[in-house]
Amino acid sequence: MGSPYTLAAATAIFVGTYVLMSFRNLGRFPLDRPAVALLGGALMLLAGVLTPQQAMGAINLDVILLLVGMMLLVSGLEVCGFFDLVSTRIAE
Amino acid sequence: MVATAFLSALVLNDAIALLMTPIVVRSAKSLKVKPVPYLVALALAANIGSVATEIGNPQNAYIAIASGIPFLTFTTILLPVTLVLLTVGIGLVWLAFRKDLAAPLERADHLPPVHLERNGLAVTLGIAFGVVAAFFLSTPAWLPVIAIVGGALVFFFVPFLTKATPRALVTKVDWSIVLFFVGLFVLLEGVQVSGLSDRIEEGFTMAFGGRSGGLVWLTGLSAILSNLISNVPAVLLLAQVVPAGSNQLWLALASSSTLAGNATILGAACNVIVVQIAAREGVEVSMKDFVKAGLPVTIATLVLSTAIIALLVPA
Repeated sequence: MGSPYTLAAATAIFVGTYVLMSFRNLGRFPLDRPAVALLGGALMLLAGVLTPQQAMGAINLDVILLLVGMMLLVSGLEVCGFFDLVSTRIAE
Repeated sequence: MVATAFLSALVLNDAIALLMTPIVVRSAKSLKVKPVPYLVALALAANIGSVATEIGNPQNAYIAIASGIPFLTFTTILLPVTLVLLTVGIGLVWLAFRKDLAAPLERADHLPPVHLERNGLAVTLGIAFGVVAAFFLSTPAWLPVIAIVGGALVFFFVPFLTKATPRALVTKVDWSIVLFFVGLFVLLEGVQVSGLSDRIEEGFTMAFGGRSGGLVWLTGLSAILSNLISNVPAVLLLAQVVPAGSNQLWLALASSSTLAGNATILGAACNVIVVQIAAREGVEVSMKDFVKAGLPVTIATLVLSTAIIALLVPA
């Protein structure tokens, strides 16, 4: 359990981040969800809610490795023309 | 949509979303139809299909380890559930987009010539089949290892066989998805460490009338939390309150957290992937279009799955 300060800070950052994430843009400035999420994470660190160790430990490497591995595989299929082949087959 | 759900059951749904989105966008373009209904259907089907097995999605893989339910038990209960849900889901997507889908298919005048790298494709497909086969034979803990080994093999060998440079392969990886996950993981750790997640949990417990509801209470809580903080962290959080050995509650947690993710774009990782990759292909899927089909599908599938699990599995 955190102190009242960390609870308040975390609540403000969490709510702010999720509200921002539900917008596509802010006025004439475009908003990117990954950027908003990353900023929220950085604010958790800056506000002292998390120690750097806690932040590093929170990053689920299993998920990241799975994604990067599969995306490399997909980009391999793409440069070899696999998706063009399948989509023309479906279209025919 | 059926094919997507089938594949999603067998492989992680996020991977299927990655694989299928470019195919759907390009097929729709060459058929001159609006890609958005098909993309929404793809995301919804990938989620529904992923409920069927323990390797369907990351939260199921986590539940597999935490609950110790054998692969076969899990599948024999949730596969029939998934088939029912999928039928309902297809019907509801058609209803939501019936105007767009009613337009007759118009054949593209001429299809762009396909540039194939035969040797590279043979090797890459070989690696892809190897990865899928290994997924089948392995435990959930091995999935990331298998994926990164497959990715590394492609990264290393494909530049030998094609004109693509390693650099070109790396730039095709959607790093913004990776950064999105990194940001969310850190953000949600803050929510957890600060005690905010406990407060949220307490609030919902009181709102749902304490422990009395059991199955219904857990389903509702996981549905709401999944949309609030996405399904993987919702499952990690709720796993703390599910008693060991209660197959009914574990299976309800698995299905409800995933199905709830269909309500909005942010509800599930695979929705985010579909939308992001579609954007890269030049197609914008709006929140409004997604929710139009996603919300009815979510409500219908949640009610059905809870009823079926309550009937099939003793508490």
